[in-house]
Amino acid sequence: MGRPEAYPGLMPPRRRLSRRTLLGAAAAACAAAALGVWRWLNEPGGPAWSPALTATAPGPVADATLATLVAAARTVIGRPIDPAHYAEYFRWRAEHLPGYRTLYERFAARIDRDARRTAGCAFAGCGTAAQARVLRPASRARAPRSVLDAAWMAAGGRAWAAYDRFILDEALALFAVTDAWILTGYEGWPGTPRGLDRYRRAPR
Amino acid sequence: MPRADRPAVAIVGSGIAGAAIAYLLTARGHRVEIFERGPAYPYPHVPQFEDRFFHRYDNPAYRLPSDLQGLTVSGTYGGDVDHERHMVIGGTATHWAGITLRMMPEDFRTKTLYGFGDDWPIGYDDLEPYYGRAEALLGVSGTDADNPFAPRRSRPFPLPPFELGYEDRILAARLRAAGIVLHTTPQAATRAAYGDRPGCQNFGACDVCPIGVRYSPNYHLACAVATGRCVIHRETSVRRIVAGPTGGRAASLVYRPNGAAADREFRAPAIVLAGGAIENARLLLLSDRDRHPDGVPLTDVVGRRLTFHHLWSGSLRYAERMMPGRLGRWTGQSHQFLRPPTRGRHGAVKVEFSANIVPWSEDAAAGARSGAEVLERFAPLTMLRNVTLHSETAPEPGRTVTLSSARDRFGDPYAHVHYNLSQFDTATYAYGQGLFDRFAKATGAVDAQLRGIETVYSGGHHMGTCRMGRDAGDGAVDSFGAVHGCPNLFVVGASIFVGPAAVNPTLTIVALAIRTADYLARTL
Repeated sequence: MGRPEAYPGLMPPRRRLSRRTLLGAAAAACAAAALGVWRWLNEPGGPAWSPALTATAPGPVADATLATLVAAARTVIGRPIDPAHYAEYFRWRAEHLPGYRTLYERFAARIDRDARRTAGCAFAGCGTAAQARVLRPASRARAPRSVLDAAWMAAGGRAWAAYDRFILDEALALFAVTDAWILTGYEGWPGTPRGLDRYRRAPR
Repeated sequence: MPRADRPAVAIVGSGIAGAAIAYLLTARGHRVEIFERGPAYPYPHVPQFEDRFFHRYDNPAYRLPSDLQGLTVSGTYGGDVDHERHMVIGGTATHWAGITLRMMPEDFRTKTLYGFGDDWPIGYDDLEPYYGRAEALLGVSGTDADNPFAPRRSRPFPLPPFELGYEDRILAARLRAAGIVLHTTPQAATRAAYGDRPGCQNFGACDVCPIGVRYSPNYHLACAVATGRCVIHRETSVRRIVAGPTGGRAASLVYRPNGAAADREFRAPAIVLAGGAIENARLLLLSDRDRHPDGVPLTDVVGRRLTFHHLWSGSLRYAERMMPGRLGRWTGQSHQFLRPPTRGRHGAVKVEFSANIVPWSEDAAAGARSGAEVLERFAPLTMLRNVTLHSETAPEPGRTVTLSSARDRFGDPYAHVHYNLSQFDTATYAYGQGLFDRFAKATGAVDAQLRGIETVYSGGHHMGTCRMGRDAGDGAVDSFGAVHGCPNLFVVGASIFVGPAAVNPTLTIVALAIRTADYLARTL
């Protein structure tokens, strides 16, 4: 048997779709896609909200990388901090937990590159305003609300979601249990020996 | 035969009761072997302390896989019963607050005095010397000088108390004006150096104290191992107890290292179950003669009258800064309501001010975008005091541990826990709410929030299930923990409590364990 086209009687009559039908179908497809993106964005635990670490091998990170991480922590916290324990925190995680070293190195390289491009300085050496500008995508990645945000996430912005969750969020969490205590009026934070005299005296 | 050449006593579970028995028996020359399902848990708890406070890391090495730790639940209790237990070397008391209170003499006679629960076969006077020894063993800091409600004692506390903090003293003065006594809290934490344990430096990290100030069972486990007469089989599950040919004695236990393919058997002159109220009942039920011809004869008392300590939390907000958490340990509490005149219509209540705000400060960072936001959320915490109502309940046969249809790695049924609140508990909550309101008013709180009755929490204090009684019809074990009808099989811990009390159970657990250890040492 030859090709069906060779036997016109076997073929159903060909219908031509009108431009209106095509446009309607395209609009419906776009609406469905937008709805899907919207649901994806809003779904608790969905991909937009659950950045994951790639399980790369732990290992030491360079001092320069640590300095960049601490500078980023200082920027997002925006209050006086003791940088030593943030550096220790980042160092330990890089050396012990899968994924962190690679994430830290990529993040440090990324914000250094962005800082050089936008402000002409390495991130740690930039001014506060320039540093804050460089870190701004983290907020966008945390709460994508529009289709444009979704497109940005799909085009590479999701890396920022991981930076936000595993670096900046963690820095704020560390701040909450350390320096925040001092800034709130405590003599020391839990985990440091505070002695048994001061708690019996009036707080400062 | 010299004691060191005799077969070792088997202890199932390395928590605070098992550790005390291991320590006391090895100190007297006996040999013991401990079987612990959970993993190693370093002591002093420096790695755990660093993980928690410096690395903020929840180390999976200290957790059992879910096919080894599990249970099923029914009823209205909303807490996570399974994870209220810490199955590691040292057990749940590796994480405890360290509060060590004696039960009241009346707590042993609630049926006679108040018409609820049952009377214990022993009384406070029987246990009093053991309370003193338990306080010495754990290194308890405390005083009764400021607590007019404390039961009598025959020896002083080993260590001075943790004094009330600045804010506690302010609250205590306001409460005193309203006729309420707020006093210090006895606790197994060394206020000053005690033996080779240092004095407290107020790290505020009490559940993972890096210098061993807060007592951990691992301390005495290490002492026992150091004698050369204690072997600890970690990550090893005991599957059942085997009775001897005549059926009237326990002969051995069947166990399996968690990663092994086959069972092994360990013969022992005495077997001590120290795995907590839920696992002790489960192991006995797994060993029941109804399941195995060479099993242990059990009465239907086993698994019944599971009883939780009932805790409800609330917060009091003040107009001025209270700065909770300057001392990591607990300070003020009131035992004034442990013997209320209306007891019997409801349970007794202990009122406790907690200073631990570390979890609250952690919460301050959730969703924050800046340090300023964190501080904004943190500031109100300085004006709060957390208050916990610790209450008793009336034991009920319908609260049970049975065998579940779900099974563990080896095919053994998990425990099934069934627990409901009762009308007695509703009445106790209402009484506690009245106390909470009194405390709020007396201390000048500008806002008071007590969480609902449905938020009841056991504090990890699971009791009953193998209660002591005068005979097999009345209880699973006698007052020394020996199983009725199987005198060399012992149960220790809160499993054997006849009833709970409003006070924390741990000191009573240890006092009873010492009593059992004495009995074992005499009879082995």
